[in-house]
Amino acid sequence: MLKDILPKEILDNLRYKLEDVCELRLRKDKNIVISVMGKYVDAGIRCLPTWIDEIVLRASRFSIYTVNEQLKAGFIAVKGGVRIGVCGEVVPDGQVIKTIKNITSLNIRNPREAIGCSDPVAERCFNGRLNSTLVISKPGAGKTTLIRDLCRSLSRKNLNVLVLDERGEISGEAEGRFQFDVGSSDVMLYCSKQFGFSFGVRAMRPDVIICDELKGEEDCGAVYEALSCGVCVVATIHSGGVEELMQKRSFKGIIESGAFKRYVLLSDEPRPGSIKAIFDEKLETIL
Amino acid sequence: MEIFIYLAIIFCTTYIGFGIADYYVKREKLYHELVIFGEKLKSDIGFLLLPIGEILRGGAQQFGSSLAELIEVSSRLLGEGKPLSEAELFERWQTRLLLHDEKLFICRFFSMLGRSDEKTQLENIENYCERFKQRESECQNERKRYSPMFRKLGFLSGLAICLFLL
Repeated sequence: MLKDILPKEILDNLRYKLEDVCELRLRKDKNIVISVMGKYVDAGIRCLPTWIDEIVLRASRFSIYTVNEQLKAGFIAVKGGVRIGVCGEVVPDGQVIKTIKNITSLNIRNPREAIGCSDPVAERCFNGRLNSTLVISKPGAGKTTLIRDLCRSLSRKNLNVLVLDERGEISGEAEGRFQFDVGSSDVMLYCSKQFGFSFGVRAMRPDVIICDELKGEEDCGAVYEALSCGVCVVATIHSGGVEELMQKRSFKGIIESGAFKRYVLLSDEPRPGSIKAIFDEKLETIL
Repeated sequence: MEIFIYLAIIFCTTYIGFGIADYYVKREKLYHELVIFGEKLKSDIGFLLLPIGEILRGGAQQFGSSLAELIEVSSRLLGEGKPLSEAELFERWQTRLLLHDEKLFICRFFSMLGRSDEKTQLENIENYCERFKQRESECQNERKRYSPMFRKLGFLSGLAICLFLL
C-alpha cells in the first residue's frame, strides 16, 4: 500500500488525498511532482535524499534480496499493486546487471480500479466469441485498469480466466489477498510471461489468458504459442498506435498473421482510459 | 537454629555458584542458537525468499530468552517501519550475557539483514555463522573450564564460611 511506504513527512504535507494521486515522482533534492487525474502538479514538498532510500527499503519490506531481480529490471512491485520505477546507478557484473545503487529518482504509480470501464471493449471483443485482443496506448493511459476490469467481467461469464500478473499490479496482491476485484480469475503472480503462458496452457486449461505489457521477441513467441493452442489472449503494449506498433520488428509478424482479432487503442485524453478506437484483425475500425 | 543458618549460608553460596556457572551455559547456548538461526535464515532466504520481517515474526518462539528477545526487538522495529540499525538494536536489546563488543557484533549481524541481494546476503550470513561457530566453541571451552569450577566454588565457599563461623 502506498501509505505504508511513504515517509510520514510526505503523508503529512500532501494536499491531495492518496486515493486521488495516480503517480508520485520523487527526485533527490527536487520538489515532488504528483499526477492527479492525468495532470502533473508540484506537490510543494522537497524530496530529502534519505526519503528515497527509506521508500526503497520499505517497498522491499526491509529485504532488498526479495526485490533485487525486479530492481535489475528498473522497478519494484509493492504489495497492493503499487509499482515503483527506479532510476540510479547501474552496477554491472560482466554482461548482466547486478543491481541499481545510489537511487536518485522514483516514479511511484498508484493503481486504481474502475469497475465497468471495460464494458465497451467486452461488448465488441468478447460478445458471442472470444477474440484475442491487444490493448495499445502510451504509458499512463489506463491499460492495466482496463484489463483488470476485463478479468472481472470475463471471469463472471463462467470463463476460465488466467491472469499472468508479473508485477502484482493487475490483482493488487497484498499478504495473499487481492486488493482489486478480478472476479474468479486464476492469478499467477510474479512470473515471467514465457513461464506463465507455457505453464498456463498446460496446467490451468484457460479460456482466456490476460497479461500486461508485452515486449520483445520472447514475449511475442510466448503469446504466439498460446494463440496457436486455441487460447484467447488479452494483452497490453506500449505504443502510440497500430502503425507505430507495426514498426516494431517483433510485433509486425504477429499483427500481419492476424493472431490478434481486436486492437483497442486507448488515450489519456480527455482522461486516462478513454477508448480512442477499436480495430479488427484487418485493422479496420469497428469503433 | 545454628544448623539452619549454616545450611542457609551453604545454600546461598551454592546458588550464586550455580548462577555464575549458568552464565557460561547460557552464553554457549546463545551462540549455538545464533548458528541455528543463521541456518534458518539461509533456508528461508535462499529457498523461499521470505522477507526478513516474516522470518523474524515467527522466529522468537523457537529460541531461548536472550536471542528471542533480540528477534522480538528486531521484529518490533520493522513493525514500526524502521530499518534494523545497529545502534537502535544495541540500545533496545537488554542482555547481560555478552561483553560490549560481542553484543555489538551480534547487533551488526542483525542490522545487515535485508540490505543486499540474495547471493551477498547468504554469503554474509555464512560468514557470520562461521564466527558464531568459533565463538560457540570458545564458549564451550569456557563453560567446561569455569562452569563446574564455580559450582564447586560456591558450595566450598559456603562450607568455608561455616567452618570460619564455627
